Amino acid sequence: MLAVYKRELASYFRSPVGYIALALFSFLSGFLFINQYSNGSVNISTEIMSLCSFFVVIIPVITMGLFSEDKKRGTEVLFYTNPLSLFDVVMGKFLAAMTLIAILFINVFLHMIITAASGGVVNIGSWGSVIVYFCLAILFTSIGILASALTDTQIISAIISFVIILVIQLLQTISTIASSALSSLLSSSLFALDPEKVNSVCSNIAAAINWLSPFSKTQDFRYGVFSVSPLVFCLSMALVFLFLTYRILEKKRWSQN
Amino acid sequence: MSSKDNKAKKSETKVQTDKRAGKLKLFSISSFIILLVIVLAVNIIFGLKIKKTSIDDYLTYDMTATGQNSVSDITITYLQTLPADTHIRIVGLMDKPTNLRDTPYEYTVPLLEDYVAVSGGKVTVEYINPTKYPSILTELDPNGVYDLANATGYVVYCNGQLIQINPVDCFTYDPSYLQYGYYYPTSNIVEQKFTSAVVNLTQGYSYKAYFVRGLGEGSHEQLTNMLASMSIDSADIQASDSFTVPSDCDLLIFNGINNDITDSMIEAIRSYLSGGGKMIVAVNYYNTNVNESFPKLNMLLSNYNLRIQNSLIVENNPGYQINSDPYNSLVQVASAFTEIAGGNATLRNSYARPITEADTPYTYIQVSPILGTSSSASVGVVDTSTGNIVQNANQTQYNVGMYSTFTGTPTPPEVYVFGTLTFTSDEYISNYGFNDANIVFTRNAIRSMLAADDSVYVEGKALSNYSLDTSKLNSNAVTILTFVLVAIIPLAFVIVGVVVYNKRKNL
Amino acid sequence: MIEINNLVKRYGDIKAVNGISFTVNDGEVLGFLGPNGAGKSTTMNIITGYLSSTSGTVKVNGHDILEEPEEAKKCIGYLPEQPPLYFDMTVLEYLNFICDLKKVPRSERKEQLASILSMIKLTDMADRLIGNLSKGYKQRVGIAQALVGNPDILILDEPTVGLDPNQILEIRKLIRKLADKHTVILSSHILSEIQAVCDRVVIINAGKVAAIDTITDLSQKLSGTTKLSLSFKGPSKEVINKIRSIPGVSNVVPVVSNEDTSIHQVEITADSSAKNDVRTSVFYAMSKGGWPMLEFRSMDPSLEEIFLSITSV
Repeated sequence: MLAVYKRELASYFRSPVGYIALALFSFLSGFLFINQYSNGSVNISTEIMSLCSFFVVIIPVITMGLFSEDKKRGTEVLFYTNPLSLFDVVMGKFLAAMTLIAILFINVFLHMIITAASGGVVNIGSWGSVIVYFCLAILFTSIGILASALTDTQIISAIISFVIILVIQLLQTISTIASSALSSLLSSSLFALDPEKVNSVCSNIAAAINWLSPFSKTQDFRYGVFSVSPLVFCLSMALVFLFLTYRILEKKRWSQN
Repeated sequence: MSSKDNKAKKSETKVQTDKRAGKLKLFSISSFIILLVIVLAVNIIFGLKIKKTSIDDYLTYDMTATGQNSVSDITITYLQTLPADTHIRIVGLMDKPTNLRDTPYEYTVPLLEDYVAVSGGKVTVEYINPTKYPSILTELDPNGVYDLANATGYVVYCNGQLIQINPVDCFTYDPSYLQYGYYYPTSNIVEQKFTSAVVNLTQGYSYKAYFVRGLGEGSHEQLTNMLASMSIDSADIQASDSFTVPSDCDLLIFNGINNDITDSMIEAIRSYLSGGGKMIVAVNYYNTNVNESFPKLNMLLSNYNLRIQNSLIVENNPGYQINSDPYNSLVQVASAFTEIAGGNATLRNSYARPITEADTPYTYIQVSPILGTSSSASVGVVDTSTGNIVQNANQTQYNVGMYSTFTGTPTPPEVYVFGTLTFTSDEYISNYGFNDANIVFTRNAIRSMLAADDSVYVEGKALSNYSLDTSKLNSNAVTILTFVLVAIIPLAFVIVGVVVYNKRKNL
Repeated sequence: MIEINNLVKRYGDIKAVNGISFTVNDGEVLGFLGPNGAGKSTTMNIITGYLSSTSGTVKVNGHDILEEPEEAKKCIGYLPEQPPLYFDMTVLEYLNFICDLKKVPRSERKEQLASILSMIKLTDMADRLIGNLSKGYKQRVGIAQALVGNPDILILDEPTVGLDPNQILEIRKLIRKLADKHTVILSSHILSEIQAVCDRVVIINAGKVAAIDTITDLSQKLSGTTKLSLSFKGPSKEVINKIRSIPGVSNVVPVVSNEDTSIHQVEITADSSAKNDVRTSVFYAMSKGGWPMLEFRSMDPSLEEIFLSITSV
């Protein structure tokens, strides 16, 4: 695991990719921070939550090459023919991506220090937002890694993870739209059902869709309310995706094709 | 025979696949499915309810210093005292808000979930949008007495009675922003509002207070909130020539009036007070009322040997001034009132009128000063032609607040007169919150008059103020910081990247 | 020791490998000969655990590759057809990474890498970027990668393909050197390469083992017939008849003939087991007839011909 982790992390900084990611992220977060700072009031949570909405771009860029490049270059042979578990390979790559994300996040810690030094507030809600950020990052990175293991083209892998993360980000909106569309359809003269029953069915559907949204689950953290279930949700779902990636890679061992 | 041959041939051509590969496949797929099922099950279990409270709610912790999103012990204790079959429905007349960020729901939705968590099933929270489920309105209010059709926000419902709470009203706002149309919340009184609603629905109100309106006064929303939290219902009563004090009135309040009362009110109020009525009068000396000497109000007050002067207190002792401002200063609490003042020795006043005795000769009137300036205060009046304050050179101690009652009567009247609005106004409460010493004084004073039970009083919770220390924030620093964060750091990374790339490219 | 038993790999209806069985003994160099598409790479990929087999077993030093993959893989160093190289790393960085993968202890690492680099003559290139190396050097890095961790068994898939003749010679020399300490399996589609390096050869065609033989036995089997190519100036019919009449010559086929210049080329099939060498007889016959020989050489048998000759024996 350590071998793969070290190589992947170093490879981010051997190529310009890591530096460009750093430059872009520090520009972006710096801009968001200064925007608040110049107004004389800084809520770190707001900055972090804005950064969370950029995951849809950041994560695919970071994860797209992790497995697809190995497949394309033929270097994946190394993982299959050397004495190491494929799960270690998955975890090594995952942790390398997470480390890069953590390195990017140093910018925000810098902003926290500046805020505190300028007499502003870095409260428990700020730390709650940090937890949310990393939970979402873990979940989305695992999705990105899965996407990368599904294909041998970086671009396709990036598109897959982009679409999945985008859908997850929009789940709350999707749930409202879906339920209102369904309810207006069902209660129209076509079906002529009792509108209240239709509404209760539709709101249950909306709640079910919303149940999947990690954003709605974790939103209380930024107000300083910590709860166990969103953390368990993000981490366990990440584990599911990583395990699925592992299984997909290991398929070569028994696949008949 | 031939079919047998065919079969034999088939089995020959068909290569037996390795059973171990099949096993691995089975293991691989089943292990994934098992993991998925376990993970889903664990996550669903969090939503399961034990005693109407989900496990998730039990595992939720409010880490904020002020407990913004958790119900305080006072509420919990009260909920525990309620009978087990109590059912308090909190109904949000809307779809459940999903994006709480920077909305009033930011502090209401999580807190209400905590009510459910701590109540052991006595409190439920639902979100029902009346446009989708019109029947909810008739369900809550079958007789249509509460005008729910126009209601927004929450309804707290218990035993056929309900109290409406709009989330926007669950905050105190910074008045200096309010005048520009911005709502800048300073503290969160969501729990205060909901808990007092619960208390008042389950116990009923103990008392009723009336605010006299129509005399150029400001709003009294926050004082109303405070009264509600003390189980005192409040209503408005318009000043008019046919003014009568309602028979259920337990407390009459003049909160920051700028115009004098009417003739008919003098007698109406006097007769109300003579039956053991209670009254609070608060007036200041500011802007619109500098020429108002309140002759009729003083006529009423003279029955209680009190008088409101038409002048401005100027505090000359720098030790009493707040921020070197002679019109905003500290006042001493008279020793008889230290208990009501919650042990505080000094309180704040602002643009105050002196309150004096009216030289009414009756000995059954017992007047006591409450709040006094330093002995080097003087008074001044605004010269209407220049707008300047003309100060009287005499320096002495003035009273900002006085209290009067009768002795020898079984039901004596009680009158508090404040020459400042720093004990009652929305502006002051919004600025300093419900925990401020002045407001604690007001609360205790009301409690001493009405014996009001405020044991389930939940204090307002200060909201985080994200402002930076302006003294450390000059435009130069901001410019430099902007330059460093938005330009230098990103550029430095780009440069390092280019250098590394070039170096490695040619290895 | 590697035991391969009845290995089958199917891709849909096509059997890339169809029932291959053979054993590789410790310390030997085994050649794996077959035309492109015969199933060499597939077999090697299965042995190393990169691909699954449809049926059959592979045991490496007694460890089944499917049941004890890690134990089996520990014994193998593998150079696939396309060397698994990260072009963005330097040679040393890459080999260090391989050391990490193979869990080479830190204390031994420096020494081991130094000896591998000097053996493969890569020491000068240690700090170069792999992407900037020539094809030959990349191939060497690939071999170096297989050597890391001192595995008992080296499996090299077409190690000389695409290299220039000089590089091919060097790599062959290197493989012979490695054979001192390792069991080597080497695949190739060139007979002479196998003959030059290996002790034993497994010839496969269309997914099946065509022959397993020692090199000496193979040479004997192949020595039955010889093919010669002859260009000459003279009357074609007369010459061909003359050659045909030489004892030992079984067939003469004209390949190119040009009546204007009367330069012709023929292919002579001869029985090389005959006691007298056909080549001398041809030479004397030609000089006697006064027909100048422009070119006379023996032809390497094509793989198809080898299969033919092997299977016909």
